[in-house]
Amino acid sequence: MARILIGTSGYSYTEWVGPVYPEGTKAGEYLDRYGTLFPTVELNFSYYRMPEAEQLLAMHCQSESLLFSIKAHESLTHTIDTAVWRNAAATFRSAVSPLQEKGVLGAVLLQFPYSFHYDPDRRRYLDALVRSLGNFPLAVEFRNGQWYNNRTLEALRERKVSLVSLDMPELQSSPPMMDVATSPLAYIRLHGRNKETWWGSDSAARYDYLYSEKELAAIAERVRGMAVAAQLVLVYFNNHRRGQAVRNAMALQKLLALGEVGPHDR
Amino acid sequence: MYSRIGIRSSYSLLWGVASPKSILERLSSQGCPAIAITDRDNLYGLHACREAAQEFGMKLVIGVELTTPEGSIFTFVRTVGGYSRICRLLSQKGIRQNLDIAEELANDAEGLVLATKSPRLLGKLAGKVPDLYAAITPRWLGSIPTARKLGIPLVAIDDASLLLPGDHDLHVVLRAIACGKTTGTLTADDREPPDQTIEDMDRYAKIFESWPQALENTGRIISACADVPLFQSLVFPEYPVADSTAEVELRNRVLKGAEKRYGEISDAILGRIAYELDIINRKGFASYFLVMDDIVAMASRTCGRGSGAASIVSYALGITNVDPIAYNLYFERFLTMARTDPPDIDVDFAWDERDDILHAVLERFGKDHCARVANHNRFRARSAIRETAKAYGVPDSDITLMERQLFDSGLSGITDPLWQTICSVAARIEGLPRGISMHCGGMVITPKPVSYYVPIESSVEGYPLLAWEKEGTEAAGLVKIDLLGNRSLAVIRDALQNLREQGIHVDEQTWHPAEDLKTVEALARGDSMGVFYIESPAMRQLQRKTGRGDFPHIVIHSSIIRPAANKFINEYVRRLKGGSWEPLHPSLARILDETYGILCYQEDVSKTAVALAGFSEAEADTLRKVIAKKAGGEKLARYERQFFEGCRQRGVQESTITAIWEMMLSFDGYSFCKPHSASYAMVSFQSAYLRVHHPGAFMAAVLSNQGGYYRAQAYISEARRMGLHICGPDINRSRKQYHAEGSTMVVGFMAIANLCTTAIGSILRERSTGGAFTSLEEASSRLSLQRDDLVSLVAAGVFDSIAVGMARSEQLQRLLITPRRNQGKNGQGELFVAETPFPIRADRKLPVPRPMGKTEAELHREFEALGFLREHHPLLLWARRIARVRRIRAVEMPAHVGDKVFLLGWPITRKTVWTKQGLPMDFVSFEDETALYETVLFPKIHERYRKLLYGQRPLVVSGTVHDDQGALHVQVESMRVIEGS
Amino acid sequence: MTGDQASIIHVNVTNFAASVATSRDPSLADKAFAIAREGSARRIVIAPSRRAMEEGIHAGMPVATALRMVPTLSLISPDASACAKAESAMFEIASRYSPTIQHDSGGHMYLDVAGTTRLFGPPVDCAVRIRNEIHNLLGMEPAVAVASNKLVAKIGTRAIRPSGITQVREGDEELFLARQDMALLPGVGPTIGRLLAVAGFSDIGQLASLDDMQVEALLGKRGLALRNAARGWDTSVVDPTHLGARTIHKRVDFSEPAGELEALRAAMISAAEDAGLDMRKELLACTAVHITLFWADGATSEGKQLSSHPLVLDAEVLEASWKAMQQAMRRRVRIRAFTLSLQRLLPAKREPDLFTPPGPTREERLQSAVDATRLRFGPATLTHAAAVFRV
Repeated sequence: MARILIGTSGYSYTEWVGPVYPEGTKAGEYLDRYGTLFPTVELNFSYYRMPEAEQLLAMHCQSESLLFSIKAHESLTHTIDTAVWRNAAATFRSAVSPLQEKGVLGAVLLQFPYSFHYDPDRRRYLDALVRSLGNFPLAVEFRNGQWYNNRTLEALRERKVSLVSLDMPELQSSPPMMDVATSPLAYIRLHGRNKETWWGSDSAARYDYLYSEKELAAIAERVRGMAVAAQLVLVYFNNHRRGQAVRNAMALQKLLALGEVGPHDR
Repeated sequence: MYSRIGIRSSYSLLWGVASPKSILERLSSQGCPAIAITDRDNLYGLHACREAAQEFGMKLVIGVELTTPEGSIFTFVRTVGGYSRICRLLSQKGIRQNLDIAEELANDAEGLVLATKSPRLLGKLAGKVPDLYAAITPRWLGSIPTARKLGIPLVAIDDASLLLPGDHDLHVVLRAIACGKTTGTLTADDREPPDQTIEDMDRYAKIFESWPQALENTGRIISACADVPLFQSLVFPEYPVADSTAEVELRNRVLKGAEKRYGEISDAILGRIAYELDIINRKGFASYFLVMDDIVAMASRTCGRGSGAASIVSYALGITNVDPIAYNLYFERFLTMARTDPPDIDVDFAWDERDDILHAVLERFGKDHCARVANHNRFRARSAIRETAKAYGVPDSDITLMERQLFDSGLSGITDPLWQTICSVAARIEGLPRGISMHCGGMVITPKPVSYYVPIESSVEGYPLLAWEKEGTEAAGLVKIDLLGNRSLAVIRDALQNLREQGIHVDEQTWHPAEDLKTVEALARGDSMGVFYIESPAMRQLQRKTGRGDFPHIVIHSSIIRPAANKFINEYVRRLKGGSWEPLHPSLARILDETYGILCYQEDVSKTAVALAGFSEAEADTLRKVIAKKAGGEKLARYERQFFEGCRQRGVQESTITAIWEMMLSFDGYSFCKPHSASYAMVSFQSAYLRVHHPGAFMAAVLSNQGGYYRAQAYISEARRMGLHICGPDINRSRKQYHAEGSTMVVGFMAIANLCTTAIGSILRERSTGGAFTSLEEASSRLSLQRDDLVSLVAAGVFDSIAVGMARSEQLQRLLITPRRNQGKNGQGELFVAETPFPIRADRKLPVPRPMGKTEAELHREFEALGFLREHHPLLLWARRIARVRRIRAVEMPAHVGDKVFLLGWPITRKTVWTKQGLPMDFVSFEDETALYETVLFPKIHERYRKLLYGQRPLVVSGTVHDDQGALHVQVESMRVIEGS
Repeated sequence: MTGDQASIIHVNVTNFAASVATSRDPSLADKAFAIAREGSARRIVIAPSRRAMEEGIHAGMPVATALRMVPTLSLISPDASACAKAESAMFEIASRYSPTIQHDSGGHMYLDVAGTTRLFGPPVDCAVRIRNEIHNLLGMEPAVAVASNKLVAKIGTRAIRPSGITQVREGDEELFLARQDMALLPGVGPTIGRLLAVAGFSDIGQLASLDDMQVEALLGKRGLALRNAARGWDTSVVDPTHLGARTIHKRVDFSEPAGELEALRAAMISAAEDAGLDMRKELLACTAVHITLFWADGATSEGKQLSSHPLVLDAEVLEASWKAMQQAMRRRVRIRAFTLSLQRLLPAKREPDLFTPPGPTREERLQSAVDATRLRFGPATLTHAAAVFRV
């Protein structure tokens, strides 16, 4: 049976002071705090700002037990420039490598936007990107439904890259729900189910959602299902608004009867 | 002691359990002087019986048990006419199921002695057949009352099939196999009762004590029937010549032919001709040569096999193509006055002409006067186990499991008593005959109808079929001719034809390919893919190691490359390159100098036995045959003793004797005599010449005839490396076969998988009547082809030249639409304007890079359709993955001897051999875009990577480059598929 | 949740026989083995294990080839009773979630969970639980898909196999199918597959985008059915009847009672082809064909053909139908109508072409049937028959 680790997407939200972190917690102390709550975290800042090795190492030192998953920089997934992406990939690689060496890298998340169509150029690009980041455990999230076909799955299996399992509002043309193990790592992202605000609102509103007990029970079943074929299951709640992600994540931990957080053994 | 008659041997197929030899051996040891084996409804075993009778010094009566619904009639041959009567009866019985044998015999039993234990049959035959006996057996006296009533004399017969009481198990299993039942479901009618054993002589005498007249009559039959003068002369029809004799006619034809071959006939030539003709005539073979001459004249070209190629008569007649004078071939290998067996002229014909020639022979000499030689099929180890297990009702899956266990650990691991029984029965069944089939080329022609000499059946293929295999046929004096198929003769024929079309005429009278320097050089380099007999990787490597491509060496190489002769080959190469060597023995010096002191040809075995151990010519010849047959056993052991003794008497050292004997044993199975090698080498040279000077026509012919050592793809690559331009298949240029236009080779429609022949025919017809096609639309309307064929044609790129720049997918769409438009049904077709393909979604066309203008998908379809690519090496299909592989190219290998290298490998061919320890290892030929190369996979590596060799996909091969006496190969250390996409 | 959401669940245990063997003997889990029936002639792999699959062994491959590729491959005979047990256990799990279950053998099961939302939550949640239960209780990992109809659900499981779960939302069917490999579309067998590949159609969506006329030109009249499937159209219902008890039924009424053998045969060919199409759409084969003739005077008569091997292709169904028809033709009266039913259905072992694209083999075959009839009934009975059949 796989090890299941639950966390949230990001930890550094000022609005969490109160609902999650004790009043008066300073920004510099968030990660310490977070580390007492969950065994893993998905870092999102690396998408907007190219991460640096020292910075990531410092975070590791701050909370040594945390397993980090890290979202790839936008220049690798959203604003791809054929001339320079290889440099960006190299920079990203050298920043993340220390985490892997320390054994605290969960996965690198490649999240592609809706505009990343299933076409030969992009397929080749993805192949090249996967090869350039090949030493890391990789998880790919597609927002364009075209990618959810048998050829993509075969290609991911061949390269041992995981397909991110999604939970998000059921909207026309958004990706189908698909839990398929394509590598020993299962990666689940829960975006909430706020249909009304998904398009055309700011991200804060988009991720404003609290899963109900019933919904969490169903999600727990999905996690168990993924745990059959995988060795490690990473689950991240992205409904971060007002710390709802934290409440849901804790509830899910309980549902899955996962033990208290401690320094994880590896 | 009494003679014994009415015994069934194992030639009573799937009934009798004991070989004639074992029966005769046993009875002879008990003092039995004469015997009549009577098998059920056939004479398959006659030759084996005669051999055994000779071995044990017994008299043999020829007989057969003719089965009828009312019982068996045991029939014994008293005269030559009686023998023929049986042959005809058996032949008829095979054709007419309901033939009333008793009736037939009642009408005509001249020259036969009959015996039956059936009262009804006795009644039917009494008074009509002069030599009729009522049979009593050790277990049956029921015919006595009838015999008394009708006044028919009694005779004692065995009527038995079992040699020992324990043989009944074996009989039951054979019957179960024959009836498709299990041992448990056989009924009493399907098999004999358990006590049908051939009684020991003492008991036999005791049983018939009270019937002395019956025993006497047995003796009477023996004395009446033994020593029938059969099989004492050769059987061959007289060649009819008006106003002259066959001998004169033969001489005329030979002289005429020799003049053509040699120009003016010198005294030496004339002398040789006279010498050969004298022997031929004295032995009475003039007609035989004339017949062969007629047969050969029907063919476009031929190649003599075997010792027949050592004859100037054969050469002059065009039966063979090697000049025996120029190449030192001795007629004595073929015919001498001393030998009694008939000459054996085996001839190869172009594979696609052979059936026609066989039919023409039937036509020419009369269907009743010709028959094909049979094979006697026997149980082999595997089929014996499988069939026996099935007879015991064991399911297939269990058999498969047990086969593996047997293979892995042998008999010792078997504890299941059922399987112990099965294995012991199977061991006794192994080697028993189980049926007859047709030999691949042997045929006899007879003056009287064949069924006068031997029973005839009909083969599955519809040919008249003799009851006997090769040995039996020969022993009976029937002169056999072997007509075999050979693809390279068709290759040469087609290439020459293709050249004639282009205005290039090779005059065969003055064509001496063996003297062509460029050809010799090419062969010395091992450039011989497609060349007859010397194109295998092993052969090409040997060519490279020796660096010799002249005729005498090619003759040696064609012969020395036997499976069992590997270590002698290395020694041969060493000596050829100047390594020192001593003759095995001074008395062999002259004999083997030509082959550097190494036994090379079949006749070297006999020559050695004569020179070193004092064998007579005849003994030496038999020794050679015994070794070649892998017969082993007692005969071989006897010869081994004789050889060692003989050598010792001549003072040969013990170690030398052992070494020579071992070398002689390497001739087991498969080996050539020198005339045969020379004859083959001549064909090799003809094809090699064409390859060097007319590569286009040659390779086209190789591909058209489909029969070489390699797949089409390998020849296509080779053609490219030879600098040929490959084109097609093309709607306007292709024929059914491949052909060349100068240095362009045009792929034929035959290369396209799944294309039906009627489609090819209709394309060619339409093109010849209506001229070339200029557009897809035109092709579509002129040809009414079916969907499947259009798919195949488009996939193969046949229309590319008239649909310039158009994707094949679009071609197919248009071809499928046009006919509808032409039909103009309700004007529907108008919706499809030919210029616009399907208005499929804009993102349909995936902008995959188009190497040389074709999409990857198109190339894959093309490869599926053709098995190769029209313009590229198939590695192109993996181009993107390959780009990332670090490797050297195969042409660069010479610069990397001793290095560990990585190469791309497209598997071409492979050969598995077993090491002394019984482990499999592989010799695999690969190629990349630049060259072909050879590799070796030793057992461990073979075990690990063998499964990679089955797919049609490129591998990354890594290993060390070795230079083995001038021939390079890679000793493989690892292999992997190219991953990623 | 809305009521019209996709509610068909398809559960498919890939290589069922091998999965059953593994679940009964967990030590097999990591072994390369294959299920193959015994029989010396030409043994075929029925189902490879996961490991064997990774080694390149696939169902339908000759055992001899498989053994060459993997000499250590062990062969296991299919265990019919174990498979039946596993199937009924699967059925029991499924029946906790829906009363409407179509249980095709070979590890296939369709459920309609419409209307069970209040009890068990949305269909996809149901599907997840069914999958987990099958794993927990039976040790097998199925592929499960949720869609608005059986066809799309089936393509869904094919897309993700060997295991996993997916959901195609109502309305997203065409989008989902658009980029799936053509080979996933039921009805694309060897012949049609090759034709489509050469014509440049690699994705299901490309076929879906053809209009009626185009697809007819490409594949013949029956191409429409395949095109519609490519669009994800499927109106068949989850049929809880036991597969063996189901039939595929066609009825032809003549506007005027027919007396000509020619007309009858033409009608029968089209009925047989329609029935065959329906059958192959569901990837089924049959072993019995039943014909009822309704005579003009009100009488009826029947004919039936049984087959020892599964009938899949048009040619096979047609031959059996025609024999059954001839059996039933015992009277000299005109015929008002007839019915054709394909019975004793079972899953087709191979992926058949949905129909035979018109081609030479077909016409030759028809011609020979026509000739046979002529021989039997005299030359005048049947003329120009082939013309009637041409599409």
